[in-house]
Amino acid sequence: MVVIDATTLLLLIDPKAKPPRDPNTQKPVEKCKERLAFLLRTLSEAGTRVVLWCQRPS
Amino acid sequence: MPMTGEEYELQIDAFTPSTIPMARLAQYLAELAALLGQPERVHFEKLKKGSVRLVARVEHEAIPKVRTRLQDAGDPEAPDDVRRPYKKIDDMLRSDNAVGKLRRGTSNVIRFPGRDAKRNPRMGPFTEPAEIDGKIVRVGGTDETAHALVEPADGSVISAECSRELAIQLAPFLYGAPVRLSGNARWERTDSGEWKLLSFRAKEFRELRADDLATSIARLRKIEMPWENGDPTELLQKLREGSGEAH
Repeated sequence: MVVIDATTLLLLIDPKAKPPRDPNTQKPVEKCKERLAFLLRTLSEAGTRVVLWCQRPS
Repeated sequence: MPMTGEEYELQIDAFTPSTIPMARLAQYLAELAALLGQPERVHFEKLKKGSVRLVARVEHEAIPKVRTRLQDAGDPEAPDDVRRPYKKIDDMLRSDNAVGKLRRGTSNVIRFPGRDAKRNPRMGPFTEPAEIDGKIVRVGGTDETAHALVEPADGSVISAECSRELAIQLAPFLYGAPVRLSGNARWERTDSGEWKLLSFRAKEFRELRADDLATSIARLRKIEMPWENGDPTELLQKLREGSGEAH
């Protein structure tokens, strides 16, 4: 089982979405599309259960 | 000929060999065997005096496998065939007001907290609406109420009580497409902190797609999504930093 947040879900369902900024470098996350494609392929092949984590901001 | 191998000793502080009931001793032995694995290469060696100390001997060839297996026994993420006997022994110790440890030579390999484990207050039982996803692996029954056995993705099997009418509707899904059963579940929290499903009464169901994640995501991508500012990532960020509304 893996837990993903809304940003990851967004990037999965909308490939045109801009990658988020890396908080360390303040630059867009590198190779975001490739990383997401790899994640999707890996989770699909393994039949991993995915839990969506949503949190109301405090 | 001398026996070679490695010895493991399960120590139980609440009993001596003369006070432990024979049936209980047999249960501890069975669970110790399950914990060590390698059933063809693990042997009962002896019962030592003092506190109960069950000694098992692992044949030389199986030593590395048993050592590896025991490393993660206390880890909640450990495989079920290791985790289950670990937990069973710990539950038995708690029930016997005992603590225990598994030793290899002078090393403590596993500590069983038993009676010293932090206890959670028991809660429930409660009845509340619930949904269970899984495959139907049996349906039927001779009583007025029928039962369907559902196998969720985690490999467990849950018995769902249902009407005969619902059982008839579920029958075509036997070993077929997964379904989502909706109904009422009765839960209780045990003093080990786990939620235990006591019963589940299904009222209705719907068929689920058996698509994998990639297929499901591909279907979602076909939905047209007009974003307000054209950049959903930025929109999401604004929502997170915004006024406390849900995102």
